[in-house]
Amino acid sequence: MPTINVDHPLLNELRAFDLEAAGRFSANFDPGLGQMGLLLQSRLEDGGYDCTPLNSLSFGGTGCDGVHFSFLIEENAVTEDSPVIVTAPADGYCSNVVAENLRDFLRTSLIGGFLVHESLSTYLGTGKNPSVSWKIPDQAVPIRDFLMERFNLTPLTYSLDELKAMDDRYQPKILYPPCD
Amino acid sequence: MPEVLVDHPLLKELLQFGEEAAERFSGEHDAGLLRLNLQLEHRLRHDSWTPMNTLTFARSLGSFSFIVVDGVVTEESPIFYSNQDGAFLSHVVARDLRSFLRTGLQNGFMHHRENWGYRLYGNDPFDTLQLTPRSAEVRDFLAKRFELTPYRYSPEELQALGEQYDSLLIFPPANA
Repeated sequence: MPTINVDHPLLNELRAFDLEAAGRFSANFDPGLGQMGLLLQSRLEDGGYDCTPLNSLSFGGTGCDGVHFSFLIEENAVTEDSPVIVTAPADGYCSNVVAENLRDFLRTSLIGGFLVHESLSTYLGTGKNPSVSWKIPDQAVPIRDFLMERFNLTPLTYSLDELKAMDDRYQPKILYPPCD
Repeated sequence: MPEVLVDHPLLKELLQFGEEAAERFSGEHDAGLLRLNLQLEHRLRHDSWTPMNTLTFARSLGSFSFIVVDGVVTEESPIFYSNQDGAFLSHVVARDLRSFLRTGLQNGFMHHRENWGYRLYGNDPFDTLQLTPRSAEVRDFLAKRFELTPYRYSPEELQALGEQYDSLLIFPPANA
């Protein structure tokens, strides 16, 4: 029986980092990367919503409105080249590709945190980015800086055209459960 | 945005039948097909404890699902049963929906949860179970509507079906 092959060292490093950050930086709630809006799961699993693409495995979420982040499975595998999908159940029956890979996903979250991705479908649909001015909260800045240092990251912002092109490229590969 | 294509007229008829049976054979806890331990879903959905390429259409403690192959579900799609215990134990229980319905005519659909043991060892703890008169009237209604006769796969037949179909299931990683 085939099992999805997962070869993603960066994800493992990120989980270890999350635990380390949770121990290093105090937080009243959502420790570690949760302070930036990413609640990492300890294992890859089904996103759990009717609209979650069948060919995806969730690695975390924002903890708000069921928004979750997944890897798109291609050729029965998840690797460091797997694109990252955001699924916002409240936005309807749709998921969007938010980054080419996990590394870029982290980079796109360094300024506004991970919650900015919740509004991606709105941004793609209207051309207006509701979260363009968002900044991560002050208490998360040390964790953000720690993240940047650990993984040697610099901020990345996709243009609207880049996001649309990326979504156009991957959307045909996303397999949705039947809507009705 | 590809969506799973569902081309399954029999499933549509079954859903309509389920509503009709629930009205005709009412009960506080066991209306319609529930008397045969079959709870139909109003639409196909993916259950997190089932293989990644399956869509659930009914439950009986666990999930009865179609496998999605090349993005489609048809009347030729085999039926799988998945336990809801997190162990990702799933196995084929019928060649198609019509065959599946036939397997419930003897004593309902709950016996499929013991299907794995039956397939391996031939033990069927539900073999002597008899339907109550209340359940039998739903069974007869179902059999008549779809012109069904009772059928029970032998362990050898299930083993052969398993060899044909179980390898198509795709499971999420156990530890990743």
